[in-house]
Amino acid sequence: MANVSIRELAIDFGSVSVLKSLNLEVKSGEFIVLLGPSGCGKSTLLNAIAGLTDITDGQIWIGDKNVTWEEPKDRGIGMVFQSYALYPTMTVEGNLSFGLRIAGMAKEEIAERVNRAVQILQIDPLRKRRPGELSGGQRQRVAIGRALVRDVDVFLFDEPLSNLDAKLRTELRVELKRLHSGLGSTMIYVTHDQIEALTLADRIAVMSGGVIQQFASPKEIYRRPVNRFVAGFVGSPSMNFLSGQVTSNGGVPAFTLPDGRKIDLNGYEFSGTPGDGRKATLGVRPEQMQFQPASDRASSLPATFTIVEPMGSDNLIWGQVGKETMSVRIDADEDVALNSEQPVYFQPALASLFGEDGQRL
Amino acid sequence: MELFKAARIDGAGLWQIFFLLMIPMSIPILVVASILQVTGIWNDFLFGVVFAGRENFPMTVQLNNIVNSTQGEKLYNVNMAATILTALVPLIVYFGSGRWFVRGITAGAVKG
Repeated sequence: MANVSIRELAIDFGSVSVLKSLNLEVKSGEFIVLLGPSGCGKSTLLNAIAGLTDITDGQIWIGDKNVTWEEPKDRGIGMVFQSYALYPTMTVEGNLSFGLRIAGMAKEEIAERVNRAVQILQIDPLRKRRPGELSGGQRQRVAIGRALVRDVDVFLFDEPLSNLDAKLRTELRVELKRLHSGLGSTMIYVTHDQIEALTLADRIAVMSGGVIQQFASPKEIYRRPVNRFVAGFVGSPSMNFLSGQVTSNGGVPAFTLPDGRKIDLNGYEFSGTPGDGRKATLGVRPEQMQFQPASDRASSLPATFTIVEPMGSDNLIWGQVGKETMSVRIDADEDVALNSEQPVYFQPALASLFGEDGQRL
Repeated sequence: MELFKAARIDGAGLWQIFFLLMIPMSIPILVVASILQVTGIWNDFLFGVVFAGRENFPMTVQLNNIVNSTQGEKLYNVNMAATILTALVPLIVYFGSGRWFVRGITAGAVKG
């Protein structure tokens, strides 16, 4: 177990600056997910922690040691790759013990560690097989085992579940969580799958353009995104955005749609002063809207729905508020009147407001 | 690429990666390269004629001398026997290493 501290890290590839003075503090034993769209620098950050990419500026500390210029093997890290990266010519045992053999460890010690790893990962019957004879899920387990046998302090995962089919992904996700609670190691996990991020993480770092946009618990990220990027990126289907103005409705803050209709924002926690007449974007998640007001503090939006998408457990309905698209998630048994305007209710306390610069108001 | 990254994390150096990973992974293609070399040399004609000297003519030259001789009676049985003997070596090489040959030729064509 060790904490990881990244201080003012910058990485340039030629004239392209991928990461710009990035700071990240990972506590010992924490499960951190780096979440972001392709090309946001999350894998680069992980490679930098692993020591596989040269950094331009800044420092990386693992435990109490400055490992900025250490070799990957001396950092106390293990890494699991998206393509598994198993050695194709070696058996499962050979794959697991490769690092230990290179380090010149005693045979008995190697056997003991390999035994322990195959027990934990339940791959005992596969020991003599080669990677080519394993399924995707089994390969990924072996890849995790390779980090496990080295008794590392920090596990690094680079999109480990992206190559698996949906069902297996769900299974391995639960298994990873179990593994983390069993080992108590620090884990840093890169993904662009928000479901993985929300289910696995203790804290999520949402990245975009080489900058960490928000670093907080999954609940906080989901409930109170700090800016419009985070709000739109996390959640599926993504948050509904309506543009308009923040106004004051006799002392009570309100949101005015372009057509002049006022929506009561009573209960919304502004982080500063609301500011009368300022342009803003109102964000409400599809699953936070209902056709019946959930409480007397609910506000309503005038919406016209046109399309129903059945998702099995619930239905997704698509429509318009003014000129803007809106989706609402409702119970599969609930009936909706299509093609006529009707109010949909939401709790202002659960909604998000963003200013013109995209920051949360 | 990720394979070599994984090896670096496991602590392997440049030469360890080369000898313990790359060479074992390259066996099929090494076999193909040797097969093509052996048959290429065996089937060579012009170099043999020019440089080997009368005593050391390669089989291809010998065969040509037997089959294409313009004097006397054509001994078809001898011609055929000589042809078979000449073709025998490449045949043995291909049959003996067929499994490796196919593997090496198709390497890169299959998804790992």
